[in-house]
Amino acid sequence: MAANVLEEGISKKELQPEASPPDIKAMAEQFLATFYQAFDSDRTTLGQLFRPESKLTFEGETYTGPEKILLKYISLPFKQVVHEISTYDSHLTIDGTLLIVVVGRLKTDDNPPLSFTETFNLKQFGDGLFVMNDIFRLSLHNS
Amino acid sequence: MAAISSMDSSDPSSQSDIKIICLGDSAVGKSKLVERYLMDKFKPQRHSTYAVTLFAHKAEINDRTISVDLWDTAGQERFQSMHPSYYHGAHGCILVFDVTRKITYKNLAHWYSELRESRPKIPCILLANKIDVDMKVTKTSFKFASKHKLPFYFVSARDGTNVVKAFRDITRAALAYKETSQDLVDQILEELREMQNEGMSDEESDSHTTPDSNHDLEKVT
Repeated sequence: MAANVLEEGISKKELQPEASPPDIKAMAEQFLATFYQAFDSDRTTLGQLFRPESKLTFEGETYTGPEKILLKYISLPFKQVVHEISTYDSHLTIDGTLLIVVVGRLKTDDNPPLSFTETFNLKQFGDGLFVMNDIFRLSLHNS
Repeated sequence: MAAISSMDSSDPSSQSDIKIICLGDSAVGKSKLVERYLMDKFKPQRHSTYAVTLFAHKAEINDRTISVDLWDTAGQERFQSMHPSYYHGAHGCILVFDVTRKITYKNLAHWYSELRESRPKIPCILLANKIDVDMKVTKTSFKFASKHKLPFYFVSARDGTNVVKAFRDITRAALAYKETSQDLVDQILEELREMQNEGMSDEESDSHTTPDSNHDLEKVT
C-alpha cells in the first residue's frame, strides 16, 4: 500500500483529514488572544497564567514558577512588542491538556519583524486554564 | 544542512572586501548611526531568517573604491545572545553605548568580551551616542575606552556630529587589518586614539569632569 502511494500518489478521498473538534479550537484561540494581548500591552500581568510547577524555555534557557517566568518576560529589553499569529494548531492530549503550536512574527520597537515559534501546554485548574509548558524560539537560520 | 544553506539565496555572506559589525545594547542607536552615515543612498538588505540587516556600500579609501558590508543586528540581541556567525569573518567593529542610559555603558564589558572571544584582534572603536541630549557629557571621560585602548568618539545620530568621521576611521582600520600586518593596524589605532583622547587623562573616573577638555566635535553636514 505505502509503496503504491509513493509511486502513484493518493486520491483526496482515501486520506480524508479529521475535522478538529470546535471546542478545542475555540479554547486555543481564546487562550492565544489572552496571552499575546497581555504580552503586548502589559507584560507584568503574564504571571497569573502560570503555576508553581510551570516551565518556560526561552531561547534554550529554562525557568520554573510564575515569579521566575515573569521576571524573564519583563526583563526582555524592548519597550514595545507586537505579536502576530500567522498560524497555529492544537491537540487535546491523552492527559487532557491542551497542546498548541504557534508560528508567528513579532516586531519590537523599530526593529524589522522576526519569525518565531511557540508551543504551549495548558491544563485546567478549577475555572482557569494555566500554562504548564511554554517553549519559545526565534526562527533563525544562521548557517 | 550545508545543502539547505547553499540553496538559500538570502545568505548574507557576500563577496564584499570587508565586513564591519555594529555591537551594543538595544536602542543605543546602532541602526540610526548607520542610517545617518549612509544617508538615503542605500536600501539595506533585510535577512529576517538571520535577524541581521546588511548595508552593502562602497567606500573610497586612499583613492581606492572598496565594497563594505556593514552589519546591524535587527533586534535579535533582545531575545538571545548573538549567534557566532554575526562575528564570523568581521574585519572591524563599532561598539556603541547611549550616554543617557548608564546600563548601556556597563554592558559594554559583556559585548566586548563576546567580540574578543570570536575576533581577538580586529580593530574596534567606541561610540558614545546621543550627545545632542546633553552636550555637557562630552566633558566626561569614559574609562572603558582607555582601559581597552579603543579609539573613542562622542557622536550624535540625530545631528550627525562625528558620525562620518567615526565610520571612515573604522573602515580604514578594517581594511588595514585585512590587508596588512598587525603592526600597521596597531599604529593606525594608536594614531586615532591620540587624536581622540587628546586632553583626556586615562586615569579619570567615569563621572569625573575635566574642566578644559578640548574634544573637537567635528560637525558633519
